[in-house]
Amino acid sequence: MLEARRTRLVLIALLVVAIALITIDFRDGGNSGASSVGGRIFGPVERLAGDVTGVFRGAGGDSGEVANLQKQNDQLRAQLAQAQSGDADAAQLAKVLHLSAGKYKVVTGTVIAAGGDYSDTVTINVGSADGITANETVLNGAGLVGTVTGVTSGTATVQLLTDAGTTVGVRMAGSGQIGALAGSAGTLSGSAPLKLTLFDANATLRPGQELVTFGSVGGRPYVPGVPVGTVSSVTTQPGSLTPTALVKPFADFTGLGVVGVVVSK
Amino acid sequence: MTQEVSAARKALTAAVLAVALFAAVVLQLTVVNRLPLPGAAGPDLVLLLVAAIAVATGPTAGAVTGFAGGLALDIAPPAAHYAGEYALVFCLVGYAAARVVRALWDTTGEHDPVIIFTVMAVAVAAGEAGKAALGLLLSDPDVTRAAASRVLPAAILYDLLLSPLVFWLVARLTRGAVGWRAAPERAPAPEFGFLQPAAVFRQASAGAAPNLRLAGTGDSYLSQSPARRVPRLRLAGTGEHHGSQSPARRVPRLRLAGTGEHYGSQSPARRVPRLRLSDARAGGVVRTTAGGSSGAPLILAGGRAQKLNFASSRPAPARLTGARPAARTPGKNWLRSSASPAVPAPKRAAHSPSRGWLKAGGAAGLATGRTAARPRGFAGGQPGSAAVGGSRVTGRPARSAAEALAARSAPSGLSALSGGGTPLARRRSPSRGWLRGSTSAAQTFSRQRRSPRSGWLGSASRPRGAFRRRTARGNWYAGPRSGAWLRRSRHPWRKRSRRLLRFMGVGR
Repeated sequence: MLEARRTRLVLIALLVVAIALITIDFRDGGNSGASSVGGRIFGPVERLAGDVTGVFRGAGGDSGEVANLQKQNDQLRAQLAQAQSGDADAAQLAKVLHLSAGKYKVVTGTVIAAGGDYSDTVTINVGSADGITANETVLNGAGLVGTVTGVTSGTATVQLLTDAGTTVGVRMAGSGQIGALAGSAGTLSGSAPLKLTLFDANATLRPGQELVTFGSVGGRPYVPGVPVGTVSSVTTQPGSLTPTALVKPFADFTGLGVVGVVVSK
Repeated sequence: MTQEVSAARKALTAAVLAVALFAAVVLQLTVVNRLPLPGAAGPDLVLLLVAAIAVATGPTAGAVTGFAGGLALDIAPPAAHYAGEYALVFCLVGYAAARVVRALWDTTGEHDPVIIFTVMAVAVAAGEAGKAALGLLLSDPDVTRAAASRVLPAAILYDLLLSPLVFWLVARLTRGAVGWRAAPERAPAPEFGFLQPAAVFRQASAGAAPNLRLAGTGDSYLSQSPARRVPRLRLAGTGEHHGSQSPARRVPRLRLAGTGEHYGSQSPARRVPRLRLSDARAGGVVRTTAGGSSGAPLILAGGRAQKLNFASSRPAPARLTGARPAARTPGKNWLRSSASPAVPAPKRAAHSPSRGWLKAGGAAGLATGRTAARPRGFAGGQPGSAAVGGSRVTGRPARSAAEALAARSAPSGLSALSGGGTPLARRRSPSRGWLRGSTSAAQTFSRQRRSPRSGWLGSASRPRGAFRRRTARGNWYAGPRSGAWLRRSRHPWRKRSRRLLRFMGVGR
């Protein structure tokens, strides 16, 4: 009887603490101090575990991790150069957004952990010690990956493009039409398409069109000109105001390895 | 299964489990979540481990483990949901799973691994559903209805696939390190029948009310009585379970009617008056026949005990047992105190005490109207036995503890009985109720056998009425029934309420 009462007291105390944590985190919009504490505790362990698993992943591939990283890095630079030099649109865009080309600096890191079933988030092994802050663009050799949402000293949490909470402003590569690209949950392990909604009702959509990021003010959370994906199918319903389509991203989210964070200096 | 576990062993196991939990969190985040598994989800190692630990240990450990594991998943870096969500869900899951297992252990007394594994599997599935439900509740953008319906089946499937492995691992880790407490005294296996509801009801109300036993037997009707936690009320001075196959019990036995003694052990040194009620069931020794001399063997019991014989119409004790015990026995006159003790009682008054006893339990209140004038012989300070043997009975015998108990908690039959040992001038005599029976003892016996339920129900329904002292209203149906038991009792808050009632001019 006494034991049961003690157990009930423990349970009630734990539940109250849990509800208090939820309340505080809810109020702060998910940015309470709890995650930083967790990052401090679990960050080093995850880095260590990521190194261990990285050895296995590297051993499993044809070439070593270093060569793989170098290759990715080259692709990254090429992508960046293409995105920045680009066409007249890019220059115009940079002027509008008060961006100056050539100021991008890319910090590369490796994915060491991933979120649960519902959230499409990953942890990379670079953090604030490497100059990374929140709301910075993450990309890899193929295209846009996501944006940084949380940083600890040694790790950074990246919200992927496919996360249901992600919305990216995009621009059609050819026509320049702008629209919004939203992720759908639970696509980390699969390849569920993203949903594109164009703002111009008269715009035409056809499969195969390519999308690049429209860019945000100050390059946060997305720098302009990063390739995102291709339109896979048009889903515009007759009579709807805005044309919609499904987009297949360039980046392969099931096998994310090395990614680069665009650090604006 | 009950065993003492050393503290070192427990601490070692707890440390191992904590390390395992930490490892599970890291493994979940760095490996499992990154596996390109088919389907929209993967297994949740932490939830599996929490459920397995909970069913292997106990509710406290389950709740704490669940909270710790959930909180770790909440705050470890890639987490996108609100901190505390999984802590809440896993804590509840761990506690509930362990409680279910503990309840099964308490009721069946055995550990069936299959059942425990089933509990764990159900807990894991409930945990997955709880995660989704809490996410929906908090309108997490990641957890939509579509996402939940896509993720849940796959997640539960993977969990169930992995659960035997985790269950086995945790069982190996905790083997011999978790001491299960001894199973409590348990009710017998339920036998379903139409009488089952009555037994269930009695068991359910056992904590709130004293068990009402059948007249004189001290045993409950149906007598499949499970482990008791309430003191047993032994009626009619027998102090013995009918049938007396009672094993060692942990509850204190209440010996009523001032004996405090097993019937049959005739220890002489006794200062409390003995009420010999000649229980028809407990033994044939005291069973009396019409007009017979009751209680004769009992008189032999001791010189100092004052024995009240209710069922005697003649000065039988004196005749049977010689001068010495009879000199101290108030004997028959107790029953016939309305007239001169020398006058023989009416014949019908000398019938079976068992019948009369039942009557007293059932109809003491009814009898009060007519017996209001009864104890006159006692009220005059003249003990009834004086006429018989010249012995003096003190006007106020010692109030025994049993009587006090009876006054507080006993049903009406008891109160009528214990009234016999109390100051007779103040109490109505139960004699009327005792002797109202007009049938033979054999008839009475069979009737009692046939319908014990009426006695049980009768005493259950009228304690308050029977406790009333004043009989101005005639019977217990008419009188105000509230508060009488309060005035009787000695419990502090009852005292307080009695004082309040007196202050309000209601009580005495």
